[in-house]
Amino acid sequence: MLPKSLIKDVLGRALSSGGDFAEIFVEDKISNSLSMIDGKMEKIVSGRDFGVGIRIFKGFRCIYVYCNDSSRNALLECAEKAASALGQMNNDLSINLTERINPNIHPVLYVPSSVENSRKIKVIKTAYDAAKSYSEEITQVLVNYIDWDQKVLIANSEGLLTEDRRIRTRLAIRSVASNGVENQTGAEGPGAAKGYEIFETVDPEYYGKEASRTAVTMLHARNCPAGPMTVAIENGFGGVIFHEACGHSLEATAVAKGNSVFAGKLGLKIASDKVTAIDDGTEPGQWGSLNIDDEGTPTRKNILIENGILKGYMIDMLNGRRMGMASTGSGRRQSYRYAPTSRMTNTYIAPGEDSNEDIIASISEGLYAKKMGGGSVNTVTGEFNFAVAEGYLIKNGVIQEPVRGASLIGKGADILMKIDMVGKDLACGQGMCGSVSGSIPTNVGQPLIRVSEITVGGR
Amino acid sequence: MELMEFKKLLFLKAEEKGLKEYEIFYSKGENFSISIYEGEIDKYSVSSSMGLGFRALVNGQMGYGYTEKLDEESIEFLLNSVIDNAGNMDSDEKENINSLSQKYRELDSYNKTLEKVVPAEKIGLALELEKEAKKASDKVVTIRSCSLGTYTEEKGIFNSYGIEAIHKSNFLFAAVTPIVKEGDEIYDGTSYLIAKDIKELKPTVLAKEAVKEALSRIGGEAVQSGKYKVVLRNDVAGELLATFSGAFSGDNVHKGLSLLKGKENTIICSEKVTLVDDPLMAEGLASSPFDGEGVATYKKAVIEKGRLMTFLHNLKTAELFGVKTTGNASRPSYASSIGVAPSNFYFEAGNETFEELLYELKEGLLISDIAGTHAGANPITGDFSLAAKGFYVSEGKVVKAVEQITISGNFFQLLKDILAIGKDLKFILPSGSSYYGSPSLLIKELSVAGK
Repeated sequence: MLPKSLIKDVLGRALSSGGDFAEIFVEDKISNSLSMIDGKMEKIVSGRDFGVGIRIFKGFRCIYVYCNDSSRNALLECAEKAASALGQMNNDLSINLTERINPNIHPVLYVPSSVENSRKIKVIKTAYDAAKSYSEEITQVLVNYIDWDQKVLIANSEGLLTEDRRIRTRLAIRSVASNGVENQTGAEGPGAAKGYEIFETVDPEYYGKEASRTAVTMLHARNCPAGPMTVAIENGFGGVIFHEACGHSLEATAVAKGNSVFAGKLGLKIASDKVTAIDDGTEPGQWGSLNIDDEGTPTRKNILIENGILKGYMIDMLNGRRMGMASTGSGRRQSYRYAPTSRMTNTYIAPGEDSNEDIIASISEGLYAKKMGGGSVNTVTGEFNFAVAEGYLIKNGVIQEPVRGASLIGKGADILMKIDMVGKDLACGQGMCGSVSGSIPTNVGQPLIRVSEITVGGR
Repeated sequence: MELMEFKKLLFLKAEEKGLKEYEIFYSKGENFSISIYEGEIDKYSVSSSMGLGFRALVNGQMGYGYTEKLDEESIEFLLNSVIDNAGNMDSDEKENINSLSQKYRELDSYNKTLEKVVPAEKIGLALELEKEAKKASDKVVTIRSCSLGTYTEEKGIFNSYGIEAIHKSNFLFAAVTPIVKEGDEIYDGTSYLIAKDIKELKPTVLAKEAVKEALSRIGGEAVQSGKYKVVLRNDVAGELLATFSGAFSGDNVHKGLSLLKGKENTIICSEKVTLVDDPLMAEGLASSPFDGEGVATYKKAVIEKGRLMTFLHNLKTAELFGVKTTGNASRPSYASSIGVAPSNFYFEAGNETFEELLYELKEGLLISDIAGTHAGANPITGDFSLAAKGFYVSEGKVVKAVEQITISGNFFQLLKDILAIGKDLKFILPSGSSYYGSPSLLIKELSVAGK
C-alpha cells in the first residue's frame, strides 16, 4: 500500500525527537450500505475511506497524527508534526523492517466488490417480505445490508511490517408493529467476518420473521414491573451483560490507570465459581475476529475469568507499557482516525453444567429476558445498564406473559457474584461496540444464565 | 489532487457519462487535542482530514458515493458507484438536487483568534485544569480524564445548478472527570466547556464544578421503587430531547416511524412548552447558513405553546407533505446520505429558577444523570427505561444522593406532564450534525425502579 522505503523514512523521521517507538497504520477501505424501507430500495451508498495514522510513544506518552494524504511530502510532514510535539528534532533514525505474512484464519469466498448489488438486494427483499408478511400488525420494516473490505498496513520501529484484510457482511432488520396508538419494535442483526457466503448459513427469512415476532409480541405485552428480581438471560445477544458489566472493565484502557473496579485483582475471585469468561479473536469467520489486531499483534484466545478467578486483562501496547505486561492482541480501532486501545473481540461466558429447564424451574418469581438490546457502562464505578428487547415474567418456575420496556441495571462487581446458574448452550450475537477508539464489530455471547438478583427498570 | 482540481475533473467526467444533475459535498477538518494524566501530557493528537461525497440523479434515482482519497481512481469509483447504486434503486420518493438559487444569511461561526492560540497555551490550560481538579478536595484520588481540544471544520456544497456554499466553523472543548473516594466507594463527576473563545476557559471554575458533582454523589443509594414527581436537570432533559428528536423528522413521520403522525396543528404537550430549531444561533455548534442540500436555513418554532407547528423537512419530505422545505436536510458527514435532522434544537427557557423548581417539586427526585439512551430508549415508541442518578428532594431541598435506579416512561407523555420550566437553558455535547438544549423541567410523574 506504501513503498517500504517511504515507510522507513516516515518512521525514522517520527523518532527524530526522542520517541522510543513509532508506528504507521495505513487504511484503504471500501464499504457499501444498502437500505430498503416500505419494500423499496431507498438508499445505496458506496464509499472509500483512506488515511494514514502515525503514532509515537515516549515512555507512557502517546502522540497521534493522521491525514488522508499519502504522498511522500504529506507523510513526512505528518511525522514531523508528531515528532515536534516531543521537542527538538535531530537526525532521522534508521529503521529496519522485516515483512511478515500472517496466516488467514478468516477466508472469504465472495469479496463484497465482486457481488452485484442485485444479489444483495435479493437477500434484503427476502428478509423484508418475511418480516412484512408476518402479521397485519407489522406497519413498517427497515432492512439494511452493509459490507466492507478493509485493507490495512501496519509497520513499526521494532521492525514489523505486515498487512491484513478484513471483510465483514451484516444484515440488519427492524420491524415496527403498531395498533395506531402505540408502536413496538423488534430487531435482528446477524453478521460475520465473511463475504456473501454468510447467507449459506444466515437465513434472511428466519431473521425477518424473528424481528417481526418480537415486535408483535411486545405490542401485546404489558409494562414490566419495577424492582429487584431474579432474572434468567437467554443466550446469544444476552451476552451483552458480560460485555457491559465486566468486559469493558477488564480492558487495559480502564485497568492501566487504575480506573476499573477490577484493577489489581489478578488471581482474585471476582465472580461466582460458575463463571468462566473468554475473549477470543481467533474464531474463524466470527464478527469480532481478526487475524492481527490494529497494532499488528496476532489475536489469540484470552481467558479472562476461570471459575470465578480473574486470570487476565485485554491489553494493547501502550497500556501494556504502563502495566508492565505484553499485548494480548487486543489493540483495536475503528479506523486510521483513532489511536488504537484495548478492546474486546468475541467475548463470551463459557458453557456450564445447568440445564435450561432447571434454570427456569428454579425461579419462583422473576423475569426471563429472551432478547437483549444494547447497553453501556461506567468502568470507574462499574455501573452498567442494558435494555431488554423481549421479556417475559416467570411465576413458579414457568414462563408467563410477555412484558415490555424493561431495563437491567447494576454494578459489575456485584452482578458477577450473582450469576449462580450457567446453562450449556453457548450462542453469540453481533454488535457494534463504541468506545475511545471508535465503533468496532464485536461478538457477545453466553448460554442461558441466572442472575439471583438484579434491579429491573420498568413501570 | 487539490479539491478544486478534483471537482473540475469529476464534473467533466460526470458530463461525459451523461449525468445532468449532481452534487459534491465536502468537509475538511483540522483538529488538535491533548489529554493530561498525573501532571504530564498523556496523549497528544493532531489531524488534518478531508472527505468528499458525490451524488447524482440517474433515471430519477439518487446514487451515492464518497471518498477520502482525491485521485483519478476515486473519480472512476465515484461515478461507477453512483450510476450502479442509482440503477438498483426503486424508491417512489424522489430525491432532487437543489436547483433553486439561494440567498444565505451572513453567519460568522469562525473565531480567528482561537486558530492563533499556540499548543503551549492549550497545554498550559489543560495542565492547570487537572491540577485544580486535584486540589479542589482532599477526597479526589485521581483524575480519570482531563482533555482539551480545538476543532475546525470547513464544509461546502457545489452542484450542477451552480449552487456554491462554503461554511467554516471552530470551537474549543475542555473536559475533566475527577474521581473521589469515600470509604471503599468511588464516585466520578464530569464538567465540560464548549466555547468559541479560549478566554472563556477558567480551569478553576471548571475543575470545581466537576469535583462538586463527584462529591455530591457520595453516599448515594437506591430509593424504593414507585412513582415519583421529578425534576429533570437541564442536561438530562437535553439528552432526552436529543434521543427522541427523530419524532419531529418529516421523513420518520412519513415512514410511520413517529407517533406524531397526523398531530400537526394540534396540542401535543403542556402549553408551557415551546421547542425551537435555530440554525442561525450565534453560539450554536450546529449553526450553518445552509443545510445538507444547500438550502438557506432559518429559525422556526416546532412546538409553540404546546402546539405542534411543523415537522422538520428536507426537499424530498417537504414535497411528500406538500409544504416548503424547512432547511433541515441533514448530512452529518460526506459519507452519509441526505436525511432530516434539527440544527440547534432546544426547549425555550421558562421563568423559574432552579431553586423554585425544587420548591415546587417539594417531595420527589431530582435526576442529574442518565445512561444508556442508545439502548434503553426507543425513538419509535417513545418508551424509555434508563439508568439514572440524582437526589432525593424533601420540603423543596436536596436531602440525599440517589443512585442505582432507573426512570421509566414515555417521551410523548412526558411532554404532556411538564408542570414547570426553568430559566437555566443549557446545551449538551453535540451529536451528529445537531446540538440540543433544554432548561430543567418539573415533571408530574415518572416510574422509578430502585429497591
